Amino acid sequence: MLRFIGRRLVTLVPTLLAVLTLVFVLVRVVPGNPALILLGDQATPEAIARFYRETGLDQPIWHQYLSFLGQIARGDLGRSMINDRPVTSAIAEVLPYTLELSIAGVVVGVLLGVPLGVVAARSNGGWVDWLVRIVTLGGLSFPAFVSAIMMLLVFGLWLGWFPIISGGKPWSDPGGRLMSLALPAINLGLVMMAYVARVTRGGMLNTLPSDFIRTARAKGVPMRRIVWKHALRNVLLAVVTFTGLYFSVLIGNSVLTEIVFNRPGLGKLVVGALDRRDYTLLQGLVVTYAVLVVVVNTLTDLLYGLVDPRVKTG
Amino acid sequence: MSAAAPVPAGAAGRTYRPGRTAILIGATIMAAVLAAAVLAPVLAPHDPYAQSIATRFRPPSAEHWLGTDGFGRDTFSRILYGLRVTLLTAFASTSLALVAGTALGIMSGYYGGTLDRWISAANDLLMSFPQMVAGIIMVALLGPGVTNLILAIAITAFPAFYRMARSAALALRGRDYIDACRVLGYSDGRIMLRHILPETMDDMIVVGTLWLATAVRTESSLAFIGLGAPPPAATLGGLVREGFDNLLEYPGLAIWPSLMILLIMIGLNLIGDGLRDSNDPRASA
Repeated sequence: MLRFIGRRLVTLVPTLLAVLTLVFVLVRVVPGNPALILLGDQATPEAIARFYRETGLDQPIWHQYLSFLGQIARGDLGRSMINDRPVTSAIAEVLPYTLELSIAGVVVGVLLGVPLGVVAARSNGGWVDWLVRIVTLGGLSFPAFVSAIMMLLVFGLWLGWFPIISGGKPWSDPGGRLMSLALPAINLGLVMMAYVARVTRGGMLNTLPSDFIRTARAKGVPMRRIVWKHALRNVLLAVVTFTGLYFSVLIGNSVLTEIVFNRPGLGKLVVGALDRRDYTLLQGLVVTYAVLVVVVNTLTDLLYGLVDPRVKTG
Repeated sequence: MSAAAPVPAGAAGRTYRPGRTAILIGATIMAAVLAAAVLAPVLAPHDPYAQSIATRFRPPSAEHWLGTDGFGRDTFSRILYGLRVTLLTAFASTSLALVAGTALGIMSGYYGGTLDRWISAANDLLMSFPQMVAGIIMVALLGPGVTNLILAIAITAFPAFYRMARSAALALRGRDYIDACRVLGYSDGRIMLRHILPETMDDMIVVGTLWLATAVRTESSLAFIGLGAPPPAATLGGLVREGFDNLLEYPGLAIWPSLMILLIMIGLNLIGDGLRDSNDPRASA
């Protein structure tokens, strides 16, 4: 197992390097002079020169590239172009909120999606199957901001069950924190639920006709146990893969969810950076998102090895 | 499932099965939506850009079916016009991604080797950015505007088509009939265009329909964040955004365009699901 983890971690390095290179290139091919954008059209040549010197943009490109990589390796994402705050601390401050929301969303999605998929496969073609179909169609059709707005209106405003502003309640108030997390997490979870339910249903339908299922039935194992233990164990592999794969969709949706529920997080930071044209902050955020996705993909692979021991030898 | 009598159809000899109800409902919805978009200038009771301070925030009435917004503009008319921008962006970006993804995917799969390695690596790289985040970055870098929006969404949709076409071409490459084509001296271009491309089309159309839905979602999401077509242009996501600013007082302004987006999404997903189910009813993953 350790060797498997080690091998997987080594492959992380070139992926991360490629991602960072892309970010570096992207930020530099932007049309328009960053100095003029930031300092305004009226900027004096001296001011522009100083700006170049301070941001290191007057150095040769390979020098910029190496110092960019070096900085990131040291965990330094530069300083905000607007308020000179270290980007790392701005991100670190809100990252827990986004992580908490994303994890809660995955948990909601898997806990609802797997059972839905199983009962749908059991009723294959029956009314339960159709019901699940309609539910998953809804889950896939709601853009995250639309479902968020509707939930906010119905459960927050009209019914008043949840707080409207799910601001950063501290963990010293666990009830309030969970209440403010509930609606955003459910909002993220609904899309995940739809994906997971469909994957589970498809996997179940493929697994149930297998020989080992027939053997188990012949041995007299109760159907309930066969479905939830023998068959589901095989399907979980696909569920893990797709959950990992759709994590990047979930991250995208978290941006919208955070905006609608006015939650602190990376999403709100992105919008703020866009509004103020804070390119260093934006660059730091893109790196953070990409690293997040790469890390989750790696975790998915590791989990894969845990669920199915055959993978490790591969 | 196996009880349903398979009806052979299509040149590929595939068996088509249920899923047609879904396609029918989805196609009806989309036909209505498309008609509304095309006929917007005829159907819209008001000029979508005409502002009037006297008629700000009017509730729905016979004059303004869905009320008016903070500039006194007719919400119903704005939704009809917003529909045009949203659908145009979605169709254009998906077509662009479909053509580019299919072309590069088939070439990658057919030629293999260095070309395949490089394009695949670039594609993997693209996929390590969440689609939404990639869209945000692209539009932020390219600047706002419908053309840039189309380009950005196309880039985020590219990997889906590329991977599909590549794996199809990879599987077909080793087939006897392709070898036969080579022996006959057909050029690579002719083999890819006439003998591989048609075989991949079924799958590409299914993926295309589902990604059309994704494109609508991405477009409206970007517009909601404020990266859509610049004002005063009406787009569905932009309308929701405008409504969201006054959500507590006038929830209708956000709800109506939201419902329109939802309708399009459901229509497209129904068609996509139905098409996929009629290809393979078991793998509706």
